[in-house]
Parts: sequence; structure tokens; C-alpha cells
Amino acid sequence: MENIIHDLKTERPNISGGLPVFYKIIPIAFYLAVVLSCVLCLFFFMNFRHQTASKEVWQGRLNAANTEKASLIGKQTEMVGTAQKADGLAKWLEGSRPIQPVTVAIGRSMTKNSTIAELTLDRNPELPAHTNMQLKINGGGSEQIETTLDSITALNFQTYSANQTRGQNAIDFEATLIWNDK
Amino acid sequence: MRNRAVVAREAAESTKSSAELAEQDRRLAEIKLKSLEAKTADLRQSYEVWLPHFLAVQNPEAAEQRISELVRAGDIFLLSQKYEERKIDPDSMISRALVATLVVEDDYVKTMNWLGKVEDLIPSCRVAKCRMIRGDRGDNIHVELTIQVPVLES
Repeated sequence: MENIIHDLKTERPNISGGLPVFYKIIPIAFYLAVVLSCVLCLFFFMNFRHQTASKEVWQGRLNAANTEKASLIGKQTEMVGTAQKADGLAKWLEGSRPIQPVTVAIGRSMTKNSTIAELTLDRNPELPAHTNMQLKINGGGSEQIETTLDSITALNFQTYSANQTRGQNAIDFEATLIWNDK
Repeated sequence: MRNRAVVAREAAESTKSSAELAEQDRRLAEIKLKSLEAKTADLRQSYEVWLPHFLAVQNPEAAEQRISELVRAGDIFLLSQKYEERKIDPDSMISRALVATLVVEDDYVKTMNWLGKVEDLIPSCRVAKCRMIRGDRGDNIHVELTIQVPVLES
């Protein structure tokens, strides 16, 4: 027991030359690749999140724009409908101007020697804004017709297609009355 | 992850272009509405003013009653009266009307005032025909009237 064996392994000669030096960068490259892939993954993830958030923002704007557009188009449709109805009423009213002022003006325009034998105001069924007037006056002459026409013109009515027939001490006058907007 | 990011970017860009297009359309619609508003302002204003007068007569019976009331209130001597409902223009908002054919004979001033009152109190009415001749008495006037009172389609 005096001989202590310190090393059981005996010296052996190298059988290969070992790995080249640049092989040492393989693990470094591996760790670098791992880190880089993590960074890239993080970058793409951040980008993905950013794009998703951006899409949501644009989607919100798209929805809001579409809603507003629909509301505006609805208002437009409503406005057009109202305007069409208003146009219908306006057309009716255009052919409904009061005729009492005309009859009164014609009556007042009669001079001392003239009287109205008959007065007919008849609206054209196709164009109610056009009123056919037939006036028979006893007495008077052209001056009386002039005075009567002046009083009608003063009410903003214009006379068209005027035609007068003179009888014995009487005048038959016909004309179309149209409201003058000016 | 890159693919997902690319797909998300494409989707975001597509949504952005759609949103920009929709906003452009909205602005266009806004401009169109403003233009329409300005163009139809007078018409719409007159509609608001006149509509209540038209709505005051909801049916032919109401129109007949209104005219009868005015005849009574005016104390006008009525020779004859006839009421009928007539179609005016089927395509129009005012497609039918009550047509009143009245023959009155009374004092000239009173009759003229009454006629003015009818046109004033039923502003939507249309005197389609008015024939006036001298009445039987000195100051009397004989008037044959055809009055159309529009009945709005509900």
C-alpha cells in the first residue's frame, strides 16, 4: 500500500489536429442568430400590432364616413321629396291667384257712361295660370278698354291675345290674363 | 410573423384607401346637400308656409263644410249649389279636388267682399270659373262660380 497510484490515465498521442479556429464563431453566430431572430420577431410583431391598430383606426373612419354619407344621402332624398311636393303645391298656387281683385278692378275702371254687361273669367284647364277673360261693356269705347286694361296691368297681370269686337253701343273684349312675376 | 405583419399592412392600406374614398364621397355628398339646400330654399320655405293651408282641408267633406260655412257667414243669397269630387291630376301631389259650383245673387259690394273673403280664408282654393252679370235688382249682381278646393293625398 506504499505505492499510491496518482494517475490511472496514461499519456496518449493526438490522433487528429482538432477543429479549425473559425469553428469557434459557430456558437457565437448561433446566439447572434437567435438574438436577431428575436429582434426581428419583435419588430414584425410590433409592426403587426401597429398595422392592426392602424386598420382599426381607418375602419372606424370608414364606418363613420359611410354613416355620415348615408345620413347626408337620406337628407338629400328627403329634401328632393319636399322640393317635389313644394313644386306640386307651387304649380297649383300659380293657377290659383285670387281673381276677386281683378273683378273689382274691372268694375272700378268703368267710367260714367260704361257698364259691365257680362264678365267671365275662365281658367284654362290645361294651364290654370292662364285666365281667359271675356268682357262685354255697354257704352264707352276704346278709351274704356284702355282704362280697364291699365287697371288690370296695375295688378301685375298682362293681357295676351286681346281681341275686341265693337257692336252697337257695346264692346266685346277678350284676352288671356297672365300673372307677371316682374 | 413577417407574413402576418405583411397581411396586416395590406389590410390596413386597403382599409385606408376605402376610408379615404368614403370620406371623399361624404364630402361630395355634403357639398351636394348644401347646393341642394340653397337651390330649394325658396321652394321649401313656401312649402312650409303653404302646407298648413292645404292640410286644413283633409277630405272633400271638410272642403264642402268650409264653403258652406263661408256662404252662411257671408249671408249671401245662394241660388244653387253643387259639390262634386273630381280627379285633377293623378300624377300630381294634388290629385283630386272638391269642385263647388255656386250661383249667388246679392248686392254687388257684399258679393265682391264675400268672394274676396272666400279666396282669403281658403287660400289654397282655385276659382276656376267666374261669370258675372247684372242681377235682377239695381245693385245686385249674379255670379256663377266654380271653386276647386284641393284635397291632398295622405
